[in-house]
Amino acid sequence: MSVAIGIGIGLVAGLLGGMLGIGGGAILIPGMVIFLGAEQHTAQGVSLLIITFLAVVGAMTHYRQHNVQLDVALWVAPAAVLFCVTGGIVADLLDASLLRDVWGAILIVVAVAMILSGRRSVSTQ
Amino acid sequence: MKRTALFSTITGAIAGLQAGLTGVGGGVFLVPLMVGLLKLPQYQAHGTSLAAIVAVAVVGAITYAVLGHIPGSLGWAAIAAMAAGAIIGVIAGARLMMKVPARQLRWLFSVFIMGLGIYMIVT
Repeated sequence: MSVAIGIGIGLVAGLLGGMLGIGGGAILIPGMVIFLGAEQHTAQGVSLLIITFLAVVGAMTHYRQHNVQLDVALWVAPAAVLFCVTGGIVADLLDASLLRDVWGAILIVVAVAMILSGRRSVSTQ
Repeated sequence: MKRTALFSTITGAIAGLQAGLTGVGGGVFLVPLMVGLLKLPQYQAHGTSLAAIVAVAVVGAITYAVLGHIPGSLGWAAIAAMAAGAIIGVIAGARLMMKVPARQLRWLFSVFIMGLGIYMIVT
């Protein structure tokens, strides 16, 4: 049963991830916590593991469609990797319920930022 | 070039910190910052975001594994199933993206993030 649920969670995360250019953790983590009974830290770690596969295949598909600026990705990666390790260690020190609050607060900030920037014009080239 | 280096570092730092803290790829920050700060076209921001996420996710997964959170309470069968589903889904999603006009893609992205934010507040 958990295999069927797992495939379903993965499919939804992959579909949104590929289309929106995100990892899909926003689907994977709640999916694992709600449907597979995973503990928050476990869900976050496994989410990153699944995202590794998802991002490799997704990036390759986008690359073939000429939608990857590899130099930009390489410029962004060093700081991203460094801060990701930092974030992981900090997360380990926090308890699960606090993690959910941090998660929610971050998403609210992004949502507000997206609404504000959405009023600007869109580059479509 | 200095500007690019600075903006890229800021983009990476914000997305990386969020990824490590919350276990996501960091795309919800990468895509808007790549469009707003690094001036990438909408489609290319989505593709380039996933490429950057590869590095983040590998290192993040190793960090969580070292800290003892993988596989945790989950069985490897469920993890493999999710990975398989995700791989099929992401190929379909990436191809589907090209059929969605950039303006609507951006709108879809905003709505998704909004829904997520509301979900987190409510639960």
